[in-house]
Amino acid sequence: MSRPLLKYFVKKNWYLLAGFTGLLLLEFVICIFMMNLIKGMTDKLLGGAPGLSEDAPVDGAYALSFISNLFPMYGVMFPMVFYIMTIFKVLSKPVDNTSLSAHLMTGMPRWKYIATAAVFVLGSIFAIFLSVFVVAGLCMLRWGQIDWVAWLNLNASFMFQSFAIASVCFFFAGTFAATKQGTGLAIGVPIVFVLLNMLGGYIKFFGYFTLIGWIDIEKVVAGTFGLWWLVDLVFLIVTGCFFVATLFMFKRKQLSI
Amino acid sequence: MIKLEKVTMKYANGKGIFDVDFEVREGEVVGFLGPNGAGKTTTIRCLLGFAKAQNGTCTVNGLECFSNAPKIAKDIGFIAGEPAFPDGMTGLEYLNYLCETRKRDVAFDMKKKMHELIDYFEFDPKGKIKRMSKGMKQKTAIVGAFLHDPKVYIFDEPTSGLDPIMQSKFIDLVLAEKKRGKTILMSSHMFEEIERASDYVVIIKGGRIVAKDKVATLKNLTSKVFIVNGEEVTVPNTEVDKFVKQIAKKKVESLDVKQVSLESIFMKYYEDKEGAKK
Repeated sequence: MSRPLLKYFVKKNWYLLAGFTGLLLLEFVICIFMMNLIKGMTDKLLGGAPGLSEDAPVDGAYALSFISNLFPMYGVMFPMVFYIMTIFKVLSKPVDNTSLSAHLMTGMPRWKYIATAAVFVLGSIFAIFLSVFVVAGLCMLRWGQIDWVAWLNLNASFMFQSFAIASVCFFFAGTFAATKQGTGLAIGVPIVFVLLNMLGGYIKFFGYFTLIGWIDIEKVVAGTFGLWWLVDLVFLIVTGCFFVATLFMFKRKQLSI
Repeated sequence: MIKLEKVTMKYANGKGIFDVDFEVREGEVVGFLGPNGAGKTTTIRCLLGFAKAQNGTCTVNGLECFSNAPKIAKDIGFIAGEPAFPDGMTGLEYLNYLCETRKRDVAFDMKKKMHELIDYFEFDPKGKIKRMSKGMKQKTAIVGAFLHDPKVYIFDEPTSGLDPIMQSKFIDLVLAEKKRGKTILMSSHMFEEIERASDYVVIIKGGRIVAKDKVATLKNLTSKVFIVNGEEVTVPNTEVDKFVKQIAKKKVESLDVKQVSLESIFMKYYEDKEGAKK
């Protein structure tokens, strides 16, 4: 990993990370502080939030379950938009506009550039989920004590899921950079994942190929999801495989000057 | 030092370089001439290890270029004709970044050299590169290429965007490096640009090397076209001195020199070669 390059990535992208993290935290904090109001609305309109009883008291356990239900949206989509934009900035764009040559002409090997970009992307996702874990977790204490282990498991699982999807996005960005399909594939694949995951009926199984929807939120929160470690492990293996594949493909790539 | 042996790299559209074969020995300056689209940049891409040739081998310092690109890059100063810089940097940030990334491989104070070069090219690198003029960007790229005192320089149309004074200063710098024994390959589509600094010229056209010769040989084959008081006068290069002495006796209101086209150099070169055969 190159420290000067990592410093450059942080310096040029911190505002994007800060903006996304801030917005995500704002959504969570608003939901947490207005929980009794939202509960009243969902109880009236839907007969309770998904998986939560209308009669359930608003306490720490309810807050944790309620906020966990927001994860398919805020724990998947928000980080996804962020890492698509970041991968485009640190990988696709420098290859397309040939500014990558300025880095490589310093004697930096291609693998080092890719590894540094990967560390930055994964580090940013980690920072987002760490902020959510700490800030949203502390805010939920307003309603009473929460199960910190379940909350940590939930955040960690969604973070590893984001790692895995980001690595797929990274692979397409690196492999097809500077081609007509490059940017489209890097942006399109994660979006296709989300769309496939929305499929229902007998084609629902397609969703399992997308890495989304593997986490049983209710069971994680209840502490009864016995296979959480296996799911997390698979996410990590997928992440590692796709990053290594990116290194391998990028090493052979014909680049412009 | 720089060696290409039968290098072929063909693009999908049929263009590319074919059987490119030449050498730049240590301490030599070789001009790499060719019209736009002739294959100069493709050849340089292969030399820098950015692209892998389909056939043939290219080496720098005895190392195969594609597989040893990072090692080779440490000892190369490269200037692109259209330099691209990392997003959002100022010129100074970019140069400092280069100093930082290269500091493990360079023993001397690169920052001192950086400021000397900035003073030499008389520019202020503090502004955002994005907002710089073409000439300013080019100067930033030039400083970046000379910063680490490499053994080999590869320039791809290095003076594009520079004004004539800066072009001349750049050539002076190249000559100074030549005196220090550096190996230089300089591509251009203008004969005038490289005739001052180069020992040899390699001419590429349509992806193939069409001529390799001493600068003096090519120079003597061609003529200069002077525009005196609005009228064109063609003078063989061997008689320029005589011509200047002649017009010094007359009233000259305007005097200009027309650039020699590469086409005319090729034509003259071939005419001469064919003539010699007969």
